[in-house]
Amino acid sequence: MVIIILTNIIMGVVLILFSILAYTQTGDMPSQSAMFPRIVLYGIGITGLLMIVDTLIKVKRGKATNDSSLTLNSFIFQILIPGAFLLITYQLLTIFGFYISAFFLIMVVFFYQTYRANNIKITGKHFLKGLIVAVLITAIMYIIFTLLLGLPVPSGSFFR
Amino acid sequence: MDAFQIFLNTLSPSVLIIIFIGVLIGIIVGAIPGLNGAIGISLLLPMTFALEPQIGLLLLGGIYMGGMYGGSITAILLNVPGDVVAAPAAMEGYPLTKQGRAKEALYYSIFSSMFGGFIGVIILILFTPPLASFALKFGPAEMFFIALSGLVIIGALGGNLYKSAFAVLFGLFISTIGVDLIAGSERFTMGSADLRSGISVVPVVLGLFCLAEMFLNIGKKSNEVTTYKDQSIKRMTVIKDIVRQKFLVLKSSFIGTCIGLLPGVGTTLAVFMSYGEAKRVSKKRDQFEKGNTEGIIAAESANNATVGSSMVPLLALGVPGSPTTAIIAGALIIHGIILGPSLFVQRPDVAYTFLYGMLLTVVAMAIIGAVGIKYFSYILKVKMEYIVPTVLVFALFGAYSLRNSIFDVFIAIVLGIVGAIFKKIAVPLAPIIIGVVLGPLIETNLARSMVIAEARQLSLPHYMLSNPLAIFLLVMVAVLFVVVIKMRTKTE
Repeated sequence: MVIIILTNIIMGVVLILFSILAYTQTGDMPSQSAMFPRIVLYGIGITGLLMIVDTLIKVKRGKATNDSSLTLNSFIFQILIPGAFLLITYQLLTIFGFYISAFFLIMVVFFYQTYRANNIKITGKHFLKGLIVAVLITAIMYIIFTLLLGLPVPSGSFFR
Repeated sequence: MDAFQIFLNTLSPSVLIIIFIGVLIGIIVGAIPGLNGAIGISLLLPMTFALEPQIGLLLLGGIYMGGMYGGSITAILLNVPGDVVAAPAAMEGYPLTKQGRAKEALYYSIFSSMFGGFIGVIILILFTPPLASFALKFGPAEMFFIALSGLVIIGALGGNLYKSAFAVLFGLFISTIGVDLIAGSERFTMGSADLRSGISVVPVVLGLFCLAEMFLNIGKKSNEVTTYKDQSIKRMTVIKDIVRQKFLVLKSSFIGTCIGLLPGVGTTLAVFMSYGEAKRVSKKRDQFEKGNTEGIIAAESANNATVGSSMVPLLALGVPGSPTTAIIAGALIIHGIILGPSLFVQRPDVAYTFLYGMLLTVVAMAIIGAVGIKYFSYILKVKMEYIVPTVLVFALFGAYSLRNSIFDVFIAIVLGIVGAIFKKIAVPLAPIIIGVVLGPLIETNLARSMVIAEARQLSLPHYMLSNPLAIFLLVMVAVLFVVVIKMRTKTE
C-alpha cells in the first residue's frame, strides 16, 4: 500500500512541479507561441493533482491497487547501469565514431546480460564468445550500412 | 498511371522479394520474446532510405503484418506472449501444445491471421481513397477535431486514466520543443542549437520502444524450448474448419477492423473483445483456456484485421492510429511524402502501390507461416545475450540516420531511460508517440483556425463550429470517447 501511495503521489508532485517550472519558461514567448504549450502544461499540472487526489481517495476506500513494479534493485540493474552503458557509448560515438562504439557496446552488454541472466562470473570462454559476437555484428552492420546502402555513420572527432 | 498498372507493378519480382523479406523479418521479430513488429520497423527504418518510398513502405508494411502473427508463435509454443495482444493465443494455444497439437494450433493461428489480415486490407483498399477524397474538403477546424479524436480516445484507454492522460500530454509537450513554425520563436530549447529543430518522432520511438524494452529485457533468461510429441495434421483440414466457422471469422475481423479504424485505440482491445465475444457465444465455452481453437480463430483474425484498417486514418487523414503506424508515418516524412488527403492526389503511385502491396503481405504471411512452421522453434532458441546488444546498436544507428544527427542519438538514449522508468511505473508509452505525432497537427490547425476566426471577426468557438461537418466531427469525438470508455469497462 505504501508503495502505491509513494509512486502515484510522488509522480503527481513531480508532474505539478514540472508543469510550473516549464510554465515559467513560456513567459518570454510571444503569446501565440506560448498558447499551445501552456494548454499542455495546464493539463499536466491538473493531471498530477488529480492523480494525487485519486490515489488518496482510493487508499481511503481501500481500493488502491499496485500497478508499479519499480524497485531499487530493478532501477539500478535494469535502468541505471544499462543507461550508463549507453551514455558512455554516446561519448565514444562523438570521439571514435560508430563502429568502434558499437563494438564496445555489444561486448559490454553481452557480458552484462550473461552475468545478469545466469548469475555467473565472466570467464575467458565468455570473453571469446563476446568478442566473436561483437566482431560479427559490427561487421554485418558495416556491410549493410556502409558498403551496401552507403549510409553515413557518425565518424567521431578522433578520425577527422 | 492507372490503378491496374500499379497493381501489376506490385507483382514485379523485386517488390515481391521485398514483401517476403519484410513479412519474414516481421514474423521473426514478432516471435522473439521481447521484440515486436514496432521494434522491427524502427530498426529497419534506415534500410528504407535506400529504397523507393513505396517499396520501403511495403517493407515496413510487411513487417507490421508479419509481426502481428509472429507474436502468437511464442505464445503457442512457449506460453510466453511477446505482447499482451498474443495472450489469448497463449491461453488457447499452449494447452494444445501440451496435448501434442502445437502444429494444429499454429495452423489455426496462421490461417485465421490470413483471413483477418485479408479483410482488414480489403477495408483499407475500399475505404481509404474515398475517405481521403472526402477529407480534401476539411478545413483547419475539421482537421483539429480529427487529430483531437486520436488523443481523446487514446487518453481514455490503458490502465490508470491519469497516467494515460499524462502520457498523451507528455507527447504533446515533446512536440512543442523547438522553433515554433508559426511565430518563429524558440520554445523550451534551453539555448541548445540542437533542440531548435525540435525532437523528431524516430528517436522518440527508438528510445521509448527499442531501448526501454531492451533495458527491461536485461537479466531475463532465454526461454527454455520444450519439445512435445506432435500430432500430424493437414493444412486443408484446418482451413476447412476455419471456413466452416466463417461467422466467427467475419465477426472477429469486423471487430478488429472497426477498432483498428479508430485512431489510437490499438489492437489489444480488438483482440480481447473478439476473444470475449467468441467465448460468450461458444457452445464449447467450458473448453476455453483448455485449448479451444475458436479462441485462437477469434483473437488471431481480429489481430491481423487491425493492420489494414489502422492504416486508413494514416493514409487518408494523416493521423497515425498506433505507434507502429506513427513510425511508418516517420518513414514517409523522411522520403518527403506528406501524409493525409493530398497523398492520393500528389503521390498516387506511393498510395496505391502500398494499398495493393498490403494484400500481398497477407499472401506472403500465409505462405511463410504455413511452410515455415517446423522452423519456428529455431527462432525461439535465439538467446537474449545476442538479441539485446544487437537491437541496442541498430537502434542507436536508426536514431542517428534520420537527420545524421548525433544529438538524436542522445535524445533516444535519454528517452530510453525515461521510457524504462515509465514502463516500471505503468505509464503507457504508446500515447506518448501518438502525442508527439499529433501535436503539430493539432497546434497548426488550432493556430490556423484562430487566424481565420480573427480575420472573419468571429470568436474561435464560433468559427470552429460554423459548419455542419465540424459540428458532426465534434459530436463524433464525444461519441467515440463515450464508446471507448464503455468498451474499456466491458473489457476490464
